[in-house]
Amino acid sequence: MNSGVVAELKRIVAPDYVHDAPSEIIAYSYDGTFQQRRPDLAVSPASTAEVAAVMRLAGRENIPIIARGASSGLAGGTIPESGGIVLNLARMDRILEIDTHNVCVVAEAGVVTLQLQQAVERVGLLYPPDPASSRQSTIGGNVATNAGGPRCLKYGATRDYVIGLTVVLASGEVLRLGGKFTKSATGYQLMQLITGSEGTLGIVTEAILRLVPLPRARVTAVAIFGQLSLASQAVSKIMGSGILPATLELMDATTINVVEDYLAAGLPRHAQALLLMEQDGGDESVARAEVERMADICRGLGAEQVQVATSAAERDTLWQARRAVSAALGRLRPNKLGEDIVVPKSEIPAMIAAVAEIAARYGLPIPVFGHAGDGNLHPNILFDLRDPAEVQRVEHAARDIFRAALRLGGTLSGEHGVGTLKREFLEEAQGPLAVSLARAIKQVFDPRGLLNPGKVFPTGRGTEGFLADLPTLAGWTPG
Amino acid sequence: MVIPAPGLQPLVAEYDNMLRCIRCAACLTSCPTYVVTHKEEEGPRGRIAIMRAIVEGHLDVTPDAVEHLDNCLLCEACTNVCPAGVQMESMGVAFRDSLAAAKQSGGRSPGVRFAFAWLFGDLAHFRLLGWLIWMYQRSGVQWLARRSGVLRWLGLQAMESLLPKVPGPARFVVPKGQTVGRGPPVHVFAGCIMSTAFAATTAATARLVAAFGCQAELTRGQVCCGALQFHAGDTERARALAKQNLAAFGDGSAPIVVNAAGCGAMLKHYGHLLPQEPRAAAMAARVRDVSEFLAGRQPTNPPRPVPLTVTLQDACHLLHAQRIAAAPRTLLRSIPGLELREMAEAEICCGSGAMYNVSHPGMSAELRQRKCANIAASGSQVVVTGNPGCLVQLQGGLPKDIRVRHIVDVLADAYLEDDRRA
Repeated sequence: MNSGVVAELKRIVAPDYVHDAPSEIIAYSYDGTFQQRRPDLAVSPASTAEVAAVMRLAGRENIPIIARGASSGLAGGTIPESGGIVLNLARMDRILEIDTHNVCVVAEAGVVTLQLQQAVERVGLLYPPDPASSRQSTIGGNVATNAGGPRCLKYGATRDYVIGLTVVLASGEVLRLGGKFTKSATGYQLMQLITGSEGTLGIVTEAILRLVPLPRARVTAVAIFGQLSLASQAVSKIMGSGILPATLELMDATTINVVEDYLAAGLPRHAQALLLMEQDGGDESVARAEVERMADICRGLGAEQVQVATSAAERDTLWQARRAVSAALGRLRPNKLGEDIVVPKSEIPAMIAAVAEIAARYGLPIPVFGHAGDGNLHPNILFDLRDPAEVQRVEHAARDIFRAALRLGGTLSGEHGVGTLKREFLEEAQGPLAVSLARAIKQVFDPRGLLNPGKVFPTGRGTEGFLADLPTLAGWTPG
Repeated sequence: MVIPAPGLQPLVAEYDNMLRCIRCAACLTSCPTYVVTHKEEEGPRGRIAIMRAIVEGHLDVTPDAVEHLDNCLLCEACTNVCPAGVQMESMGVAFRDSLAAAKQSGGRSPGVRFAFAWLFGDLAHFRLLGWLIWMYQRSGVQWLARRSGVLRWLGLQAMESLLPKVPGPARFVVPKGQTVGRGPPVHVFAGCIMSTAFAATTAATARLVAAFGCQAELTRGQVCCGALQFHAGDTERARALAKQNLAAFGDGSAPIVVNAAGCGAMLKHYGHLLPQEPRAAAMAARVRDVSEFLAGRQPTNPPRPVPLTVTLQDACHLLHAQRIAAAPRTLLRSIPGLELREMAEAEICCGSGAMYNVSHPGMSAELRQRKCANIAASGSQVVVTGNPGCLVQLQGGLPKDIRVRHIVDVLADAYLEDDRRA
């Protein structure tokens, strides 16, 4: 990058927040997957005005801009695949207002999700979207990926809570959408379009998020199964029983054991599957009665044991265990490919059977966990990137998992986004017509393709070799 | 294909540890330097990526890399939250080892190494330093040095301000096998700084152990634990000290009680430090932090009321390195009249580190300011902690009406008869 541009960036965001030394460029080269590619440099702006100024400069100089928060994403969405400037929004971490009259919160993009949740809970309100990464993920990243989490089963995902956005466009103009109101039939809802667009249409710098009253009661139970298939049947049956649980989470034998290695939370190591069930509401007895009904369904299907958590501490331990699953899988193999497929609820048993069959076919460990209640599962393929033959088997397994989900009437991603990982399969999932309309929209927002280039849309290279084509820092490795 | 430089062997040995990082970012919000800067290169995940890139030959050991890696406090908060099981301390130490071997900036000069070896090799030498500091503080030289501007001129102002007020050498604790109390035998680890600058606290530690029904012994032959050397990348010196302590505490089964969280964490690490020495792991297994030890026992007499509102600063080497959170809280809550209020961000380092306040005064001061604001917001009269580094660090930053005290001193008020120490 030429020194004039660097000097101008230093004027915009202060020299200390231009990260252009060799080690700093490494630090902005990865996300929560195994992918890695160096940007030209990174900058950490402190305000919407600074973001807009960086964007105008990038537009003038034709430099790609890749926005990120914690870069904890699991789809390659923040990998600076073709170089450019990584825009680190983590410094913009102010909660600007908690409005208890309009029941909403105004937050900058870099606010950490959990910190926002804790802040609103202190005044008796709840921000429901709860990605497992809430301890590190940011609101900006949540909006960009339409992040979900266990509670989305009952409450809906990030998009259902975004009521206002401040967006820096590719032109450097600042677009303000929505406001402190929760209904709108006023023209196209651009806000909903930008939510989940993974930084390809604009850079979200601020959001107004709708809140709900904090439920006074929460009742949690764990059901232990001797067979994974029984647990998946229990999910289908519970969801068809007229109950809408707050959460209905599934963990298989591998995930139970790996998280037990990390936390020693007291989960049964011999179990083949576990369901984490929760109901919340204004009335403890109503919530408890519904949890008891779910427990009865599990027992009826042959659950070995069903236990209702008796204390908040016990419940917190269970949730800590659940949130740790994804990263704890890193204990088993050096790399993992975390999938995020969704199928209709009735097809959960079929999808789980399909994953087991694919794992056997390719001889790969593919533990499964996820938000079984809404059909959103995370089969995680564990592997070692240094073994090219294994990488090829992983690729085929991933392809077969995508196609199994589509065949069962589902889709590629429930909450992680498409990024680089699933882009080659987008047409299979949505059809060519939908993808060409989306391309036309992208063209309007970002005619020169500067915003997070290469993400979401198929590259045209096809699905064969898609995994080996992903950016990594190859080279000498010891051992 | 790049083969790493010979000096990087300790770092190469950590490669599997680095590969465990799944890059989930769960560590970011636990890291003091990330929380303050919001820079990826100042967070654990960034540091691991930088070290990994060095080992893989994608990155040279550039000055910026050294700076970001060296800014790590080794507070272990990240290790504690890592779901994938990455061990940050061993990686950070390997980096410092590599630097020391390569004699690049960050490694200590031979003169400083010799001084360190002499100073910490024998507690008597350390007491001599304590005596010199006491003389300095008492004789008027300190007053003169501070007033004259000579400290600023020598660049020693920040370091000098961190010197704890040292008691008279007559009060230093000299471990020579003396015992107090009756009951099952317990070794008390005196430590270098704790036996001199905080001698009264260490004397009280032995009497507290006695008040909880044991015979406390200030065991002869013990030396400094080696933590400062280990964290500075001088593993050899740390091993030599560990062997001396091994000889002193022997092969018995009596617990070894420690009143400095940093020393406790180091002593518990002896098994890893001396892998060829089977007795090291056995000795490490006997080590107990004083709060951990007392919380597991009953006092001989019930506590006296101590009407105080206190907050607890979790020392990193207690909470993160030894994973002890409940014991000090249990002990404090057992004291009638004492109210314990939790502060925000109790789990974030105060900026003391292992001499971090000397090596990184800017970041250290920023962390101290943040910590002191959280302490003040808790509305407490006293902040309690269990590590000399935290005591010294906080002393300099608190408003006049808030005191910092070692947990042993607070417990002494409740459990030791006629114990009104100066």
